[in-house]
Amino acid sequence: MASDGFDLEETLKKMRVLAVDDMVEARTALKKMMTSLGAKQIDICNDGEEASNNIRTVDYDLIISDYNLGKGRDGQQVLEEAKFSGRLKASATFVMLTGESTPEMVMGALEYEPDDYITKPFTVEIVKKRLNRILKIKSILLPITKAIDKEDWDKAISKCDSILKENPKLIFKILRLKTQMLLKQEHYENALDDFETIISLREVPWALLGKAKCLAQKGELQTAKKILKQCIEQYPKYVQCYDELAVISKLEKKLDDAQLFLQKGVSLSPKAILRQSELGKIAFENDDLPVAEAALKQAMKLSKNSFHKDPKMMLMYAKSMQYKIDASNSKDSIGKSQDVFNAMEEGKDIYSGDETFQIEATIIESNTFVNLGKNKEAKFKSDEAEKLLDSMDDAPIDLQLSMAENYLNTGQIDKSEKLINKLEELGLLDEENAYKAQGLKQNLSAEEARKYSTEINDKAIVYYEQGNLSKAIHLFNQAVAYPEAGASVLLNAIQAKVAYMESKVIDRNMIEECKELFNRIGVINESDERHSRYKKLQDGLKQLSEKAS
Amino acid sequence: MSFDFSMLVASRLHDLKNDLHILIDLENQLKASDISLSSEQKKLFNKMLKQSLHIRHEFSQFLAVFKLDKQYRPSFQEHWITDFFELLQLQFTDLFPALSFKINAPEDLSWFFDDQLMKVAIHNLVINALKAGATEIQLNGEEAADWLVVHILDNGPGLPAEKLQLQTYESTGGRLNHGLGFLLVKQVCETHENHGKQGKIELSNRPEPDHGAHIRLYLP
Repeated sequence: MASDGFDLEETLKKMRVLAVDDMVEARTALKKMMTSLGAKQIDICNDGEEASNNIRTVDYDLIISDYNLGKGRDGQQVLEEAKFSGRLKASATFVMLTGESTPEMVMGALEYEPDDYITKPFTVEIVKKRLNRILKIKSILLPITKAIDKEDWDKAISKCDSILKENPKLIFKILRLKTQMLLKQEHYENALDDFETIISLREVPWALLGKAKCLAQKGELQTAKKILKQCIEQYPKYVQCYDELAVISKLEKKLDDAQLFLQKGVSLSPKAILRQSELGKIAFENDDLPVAEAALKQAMKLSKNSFHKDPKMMLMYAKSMQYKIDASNSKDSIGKSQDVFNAMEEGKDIYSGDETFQIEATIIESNTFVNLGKNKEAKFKSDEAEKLLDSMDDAPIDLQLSMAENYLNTGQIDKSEKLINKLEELGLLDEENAYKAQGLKQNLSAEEARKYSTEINDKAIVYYEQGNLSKAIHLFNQAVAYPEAGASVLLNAIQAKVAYMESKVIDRNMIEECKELFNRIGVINESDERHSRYKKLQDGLKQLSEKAS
Repeated sequence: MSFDFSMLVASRLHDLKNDLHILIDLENQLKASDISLSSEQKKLFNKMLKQSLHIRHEFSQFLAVFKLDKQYRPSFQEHWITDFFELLQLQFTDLFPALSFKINAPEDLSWFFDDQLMKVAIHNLVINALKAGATEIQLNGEEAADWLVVHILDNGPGLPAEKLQLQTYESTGGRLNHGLGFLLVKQVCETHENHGKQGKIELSNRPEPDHGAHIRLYLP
């Protein structure tokens, strides 16, 4: 191996080191050990949260963390956040300390892996040996990792090739780094070659997953799926395979399958926020609201103390609860609506600078009031959202469509129509949004018709009350001509006709008309306040048709 | 409802091993504290500690057998041979201060294997050698034609001719002396596979003028 002039003491002397352990003796011992090996700048942390906070502000060269950190975040989560947020540079080193109680982890099957594991209990000789090994390798890889830290991918990739030539023994480490970059840059053909090279040596899980990813990108979905399923058979805990299977199912437009794969992944690894939120989103699209609600709730819980804050996830969570909210005043409904209001309030606080979030959250509040049957509050929130939207420049289309939908929900049909027409005229709608707008428009015309038929109905009632039955019937006929006419309007029409026949003349056609109207109404249950009128009219019609025959 | 009895046994065994671990830890703490013991007491105490370590070793071995049979999924990861050997060396010289335990392997030699299983296998062979009277152990590692070969050499009396035949152990279900140990090691080797090749074990005695056993473990 090259870099033979490696000196551990000299290397550690220059490093900013973080040691994390929740046990005070272990922490002290670790610091002492590191000092004896040559480290000069050592910070120590007691738990995962403290460690993550430190990592956010300090550039560490070496982090040594116990996997088990008591309550809260564990070592793996500290590592994931550090890598995901870019706070842990590629050139830096993360060493995980594991013990008897550490859950089984398959190296090579984690998205973010430490550079090395050291098993407890250990002696200073063991730590020295392992650090010497891993830091020496890191020093060989330094030209690559430095380029990665600068996001100079071309240079990093070419360095991989040249360093591999000098250090053929490091092929697994180097090609793993290289293929990660190739995938990031969507150079699937090149990545595939490297994955094949690795697999010809040994079928390591990450190379199998990588190969499947490349094949999926090339459209070879079936082969990709086969590899993933084989990989899962061999490494049943390799959750990322399930993620990739979900991605492929999405490409195949099999959202149900995608949901099932994600559910499987979540059951294996419930702590992963991104997976939970992806499951929530897909289940939401699949209209599987109970699954969506549970997944998003979990994602929200997990993201409480985390960097993975996603405003969209929070909004979707609030939407996923709506199916349980109605005007029944039931405990569940009230509880869920309270959850929505709490989440929205919290979200508005967290994303106070995010205009879109503020408006979307206000719209959700308004819609929640609609579902609760509280129209006044709903309208109030709707007005608030409208005001915010008006003051926003370049409001996203999604948001404007949400507003249009809320207008519809709150009975503001003209506004809704105007907004949708405006979006359509501007040609701003992509395929998905156009489809959404179409649906809204259908609802709108139905709502409009219902509203119009209600207006005619109101006029007809005036004639009916004045005793002008034929005029009333004429107008009621207009009102019920709309398929959207509500049950009350239909009942009114029947009542006018029955009253006309009872007081004037029995008309067989009119009897048929009434029967048809009853058919349109369907059944009105005894619990419904209109039931007695419905029953009375049915009896009246029955007598009339008996008389007629 | 079906009940997985083996799961219960395995988890209980694991708990017991952990309890034992705590006991050994306590014993070590006691040893490190400065209570004054007579030399006779010290002897007894060291014997006690040694016995605890021995039980733990037996436990590990038993668990490994159990795992091979049932739930254990070997995890083949890249390890550096010298690092792995040094760990074993440390453990053995700690357990048996009088033992000469030498290791030799190229510094940059790495290989994919399940280190837990290999640890149990080598432990087994070394303990067998010590029981037979060996006082020197040599552990060598090399790469030969796409195999990792681990040599375990000792200076004991060597293996009797009939024991050099591995089939002997299989036909008797491992009931011969040391048989279960060799069978376990064989199984550990065979668990290692790569592109259709399977690990194996070879037993032999060192040629004259040396004496003692020479065991080779081949991992693909």
